[in-house]
Amino acid sequence: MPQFTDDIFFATISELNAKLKAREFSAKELTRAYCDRLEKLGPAYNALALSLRKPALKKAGEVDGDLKRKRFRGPLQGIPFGVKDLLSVAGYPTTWGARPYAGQVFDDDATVIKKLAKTGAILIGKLAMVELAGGGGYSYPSASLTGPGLNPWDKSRWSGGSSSGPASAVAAGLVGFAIGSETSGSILTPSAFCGVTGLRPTYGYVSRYGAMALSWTMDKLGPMCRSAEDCGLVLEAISGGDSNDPGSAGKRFYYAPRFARKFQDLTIGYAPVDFDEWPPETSRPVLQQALAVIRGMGFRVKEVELPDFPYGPVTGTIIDAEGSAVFEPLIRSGKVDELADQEQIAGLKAGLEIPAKDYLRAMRIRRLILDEFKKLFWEVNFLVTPTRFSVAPGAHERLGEGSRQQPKPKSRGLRDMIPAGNLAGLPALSLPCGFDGGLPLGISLVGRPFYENTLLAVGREFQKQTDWHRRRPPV
Amino acid sequence: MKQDLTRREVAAALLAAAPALAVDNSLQAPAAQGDPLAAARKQLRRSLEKMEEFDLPMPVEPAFIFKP
Repeated sequence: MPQFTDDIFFATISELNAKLKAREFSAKELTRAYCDRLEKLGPAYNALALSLRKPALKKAGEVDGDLKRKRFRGPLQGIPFGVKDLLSVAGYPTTWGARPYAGQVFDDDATVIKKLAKTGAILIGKLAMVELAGGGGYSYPSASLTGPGLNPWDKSRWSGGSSSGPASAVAAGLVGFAIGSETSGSILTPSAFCGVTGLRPTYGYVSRYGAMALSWTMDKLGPMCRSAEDCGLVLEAISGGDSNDPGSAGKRFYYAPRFARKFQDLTIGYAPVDFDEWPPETSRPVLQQALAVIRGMGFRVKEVELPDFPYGPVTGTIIDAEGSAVFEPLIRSGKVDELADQEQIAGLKAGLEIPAKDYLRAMRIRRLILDEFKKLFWEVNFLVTPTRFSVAPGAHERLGEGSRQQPKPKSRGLRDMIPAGNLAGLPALSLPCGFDGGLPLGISLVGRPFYENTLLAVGREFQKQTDWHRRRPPV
Repeated sequence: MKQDLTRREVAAALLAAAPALAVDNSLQAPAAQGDPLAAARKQLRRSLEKMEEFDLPMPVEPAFIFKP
């Protein structure tokens, strides 16, 4: 029986796959070790919704058969992974993090899960999430069937949401990688707070079939991993057209970092105020240093600012209207009152009252936002901005309180990049970039639609020059 | 058939039921301040007002396309 040290649990996908092919351990042994770790430590972070040990070990046995016969399927073969519990796995509970759906079982796997199964990756668990992915709004980290997601770097802090379990599980080495989702911030925020590398793909790149819908026009599924390279490998596996998803872009992503353009031919856009004024003072040196590393790669640089739109109200109106429409049966039946967060309950109820004219107004402003981003990406190739300006808040604090003590800067910079980028369906890669007071910070690269290969190439180079993504929390 | 319980039997029954009666608040978010539904409606109204301030030219269509 091989000894599984932390070096294994925190290894990248490529490292694990190489060891499996070299027969240092079997897929079954690796899966058993990860399952043990996930079941033992996952509950400590409220990260585990459901262990899938039995089917995982069965699958691992099949993978071992393939590896023995040298039937290699690619870099994800034999890699244990977890998924946010909004993805259906046939025959097993899919709770959506919410008490009213605690016993819900679907009879089909989500497309993403089917695709990953074909690669030989091994699903070992469903990971916790904020209830209903935070639709309706929520005011406390405890807005979840499994309690507040806890941060492996400091368990008194929140892991972030709504993909709280995937972020904690990847950060603590409980899974080889995870699949999260983002409507407005739910991959990027927990990635930044937990020090993992998270990729929000272009809207439509990854099929939403089998995933809980919150906002039909804004939901995206994406990888949360220990490196940019890993994100590229996972995105290649999960992307592609799907006739079951009306929002599918019908395009497949092929991870090809070797074909990325020379950095000297590219222009990055950033706003100095995002690094010098918006963040709290203690976070600024970390974020400024990360920007310096990126600038040092030889890009042309242009100072930019987001065009002036009401991003927050537009995002809120669209998500509230679509989310409440999705969950209308829950609201009308009264079962919405079983949710954990009172403001979430109220938000969902109020969302049903949004008049069509106001939803359409939001969607029309969204059209203008899309047009402005097209113009912006004629001037720059991608944008660089802190993923979040400050570190994870307390796990029992009311969210949003105490967030800004210093004077508000005059320029908005790229401050609203999370709602703006999600409205425009843009891809974004969050990279761990340092620590403030022992807690991780992240920096985001945001590109035009389908620009993932360039973002990943820059992320890969950033992670060659730094080692923030290799740091391990005190598990 | 009605059967009167002794005081000891009543006490034992109440103690046995206590865990079931106790509400597990550890997973509940703290109670919202004030009237959450009124607050949510107010927040929505604020969003709608912000959007109404935005000058939206008439020809702008919504960011979705219907194709039969």
